[in-house]
Amino acid sequence: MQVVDFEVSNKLMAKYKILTPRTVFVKLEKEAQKAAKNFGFPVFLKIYGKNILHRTEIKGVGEAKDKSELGKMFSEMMKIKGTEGILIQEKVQGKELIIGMKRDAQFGVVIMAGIGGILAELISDFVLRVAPVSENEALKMLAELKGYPYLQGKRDKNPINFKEAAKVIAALSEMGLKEAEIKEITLNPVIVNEKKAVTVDFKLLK
Amino acid sequence: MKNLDKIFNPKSVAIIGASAKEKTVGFGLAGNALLGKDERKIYFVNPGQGDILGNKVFAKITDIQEEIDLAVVAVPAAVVAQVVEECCQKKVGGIIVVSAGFAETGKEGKSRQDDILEKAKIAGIPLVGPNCLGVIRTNNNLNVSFAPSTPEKGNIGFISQSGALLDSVVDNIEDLGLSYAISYGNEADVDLIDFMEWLAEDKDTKVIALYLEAINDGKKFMEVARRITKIKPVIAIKAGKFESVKGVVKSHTGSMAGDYSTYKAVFKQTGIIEADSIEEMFDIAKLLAWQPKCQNSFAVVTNGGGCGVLASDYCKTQGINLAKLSKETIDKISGFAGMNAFWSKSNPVDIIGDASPERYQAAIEAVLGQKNVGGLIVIQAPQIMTNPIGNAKVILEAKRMFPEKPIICFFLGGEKSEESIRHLEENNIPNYGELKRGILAIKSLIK
Repeated sequence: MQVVDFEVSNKLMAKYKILTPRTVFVKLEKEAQKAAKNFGFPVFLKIYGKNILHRTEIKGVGEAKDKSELGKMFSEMMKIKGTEGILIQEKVQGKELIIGMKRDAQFGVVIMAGIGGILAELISDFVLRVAPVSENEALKMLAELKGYPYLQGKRDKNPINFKEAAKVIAALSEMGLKEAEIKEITLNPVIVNEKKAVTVDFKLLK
Repeated sequence: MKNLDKIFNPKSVAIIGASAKEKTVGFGLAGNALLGKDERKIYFVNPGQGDILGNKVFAKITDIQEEIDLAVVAVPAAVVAQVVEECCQKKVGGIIVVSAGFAETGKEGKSRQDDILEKAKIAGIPLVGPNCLGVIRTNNNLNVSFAPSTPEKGNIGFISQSGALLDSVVDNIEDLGLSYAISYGNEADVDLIDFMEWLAEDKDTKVIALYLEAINDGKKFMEVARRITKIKPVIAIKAGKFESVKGVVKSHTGSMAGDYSTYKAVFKQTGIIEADSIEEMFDIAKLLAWQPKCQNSFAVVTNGGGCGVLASDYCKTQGINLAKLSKETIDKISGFAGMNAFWSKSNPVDIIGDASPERYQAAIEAVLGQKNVGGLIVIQAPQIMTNPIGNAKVILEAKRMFPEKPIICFFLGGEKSEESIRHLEENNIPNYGELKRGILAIKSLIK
C-alpha cells in the first residue's frame, strides 16, 4: 500500500466534510513564517514526504512557540531524509480520538474509533463496527470505550462534542464505502472539544 | 434458502463406503445410520464387502432398485468424483461427502472439490462437505455421521466447522441433548448460512450454537444472522483469534480467517452472543433453551451465607442486578412459622444452614411473588440438614406457579445432590455446580 498524495487526501477530507486544522504546505522558511503569523502562535510543524509513514520516530513533528523557534525547527526538519516540505498547522486543543477505516477480506469496510494520540497503540482502547456506520451507531461506539467517562469529562468537566465526533466516524464509513481505491484511513489524532472535532493528522493509503 | 429436507428428513439413506471393519469411518457411519432403521431404509454400498452388520451390501448405488433420498460418501478422495457422478445418475435428494483430501489440502484438492461441486450443481443436488463428520438430527433418529456416540434429544442446534470438536461435544453433552449436530467441513455447496437458516425454521431448535474458524461470505452472514437472532438466540465461539494461528486455520478448513476484532464487532452488530469457551457456550445455550428471558432484577435464595455473598460479587461483576426486597416480601418470609429468626431480611435471602424444603418454599414463593423480581437464583449447599430432593420438588412447583420467571439452580457439592440435579434438569431447570459459570450465563438471559 502507498500513502495517498497530500493534495488528494486533503480534497477527500473536504469532500466528506471532515474538518482539518488550517494547514499550509511550505518549502521555504519565509512562507512558513507568513503562515504562522496568519494562524497565530503556537503552530505545529510536520514534515511531509511520500515515503514517510511515521513522523514522530524521526523527529519530524514539532511545536513552535515563536518566530525564532519556528526558523530553527524549519531548517532542522528540512534536513530529514525523504522530506519534501513542511506542513505548518494551527494548534487545536481538546481530547484526542483515533478514527480509522480498513478493509476486511470477509466483511468489507470496517470502522474503528478509539482513544487517540501518542498513547493509542499502548492503551489500545478501541471499538470496531462493520460499515455502514450511522451517526447514531457511532455514538454507541464511543459509549463503549473504556475511556468514555474521560470523554464525558467526568473529572475535568470538559466533555467533548459527541455529535461532532460521531459525524467524523460516520463520514469515514461513507468514504470507505464510496472511495474504493482508498484501502485504509487513519485519523489520529482527531481533537475534539466542546465545539468541534478537528482531524489534526490523517493518513490515507491506497 | 436451500431445501435440505432430503438431507435431514430422508426416507432412505445409502452409505457409500460402509465397512464391516471396526474402528473405521465406514463402520462408524454404518452403525450410526442403523440407529434410524425403524424410521427409514438403510442401504450399504461397497464393491468389496460381503455383508455389514448382517445387512446386504450393494456394489454401486445404481444397483439399488428403490429411490435414495440421501447418499453419504466415505470413499477415498480420488474416487469421490466417480461416486458423486453415480449419485447424480441415481437422482438422490442430497449428498454428504465425508471424505477428506479436498480444498483443505491445497490446489489439487481444491480442483477435486470444484469438480464434485460442479457435478452436484448441474444435477441440482445439495451437497454437504467434503471433509466433514456428517450430520445428526435427534428427533427422527438420524445419525449419518461417524461421531462416537449419539446425543440425547434436546433443543440446542450445534453447527461446527470442526468435526473432531463436534465429536467431543456429542460425546459429552449428556442430559442436555441436542436437536441437531452438524459438521459442515469445507462447505463447498451447502454452507454455514444454509444450516443456520434451516435451524432458524426448525421447531425443535430453541438455540443455535456455532463453532467457527472462518466465515466465507461475511456480508451474507451478517444479513442472515441479523434476521435469525430476532427469531432465536445464536451463540458463537470463534477460534483462531490471533495472527499467529491464522495459518493453522487456513490449513484446517481451507478458508481465510479475518481479523478477530472484526468478528467481535460482527457478533455485536448482528446480536450473536459470543462465548469464550465450549463450556461457556453450552452453559448459555442450556439456560436460553430452557428458561424465558427476564428483566434485570434477580432474587437469590440460599442456605449458605458465604455462597450468597460470592453470588452477589459475581452478579455485580456481570452487571446483574439484585432486587430490593419489599416490606411485604420480608413480612411474608418472617411470617412463615418454620423460618429461622436469623434469616438475612435482605437479598440474597439467606435462609440459614438448617433450611428445610418448606422453608425454601416459603422464601421462593415470597420473592417470586414480588412483582419487580424478574428471575430467581436458588443456591443449595449440601449441609447435613439439607434435603436436596425435597428442595428440587419445591423448585419445580415454584416454576409451575411462575412460568414466566426464570429459575436457575446452584446445587453445589457432589454426590449428595446428584439425583436432585438430574430431576431438576429433566424438567428443564438448569443447574450449575459452580457459581461463577452459571452467573456468567445468566447475563444472556436479561431482556
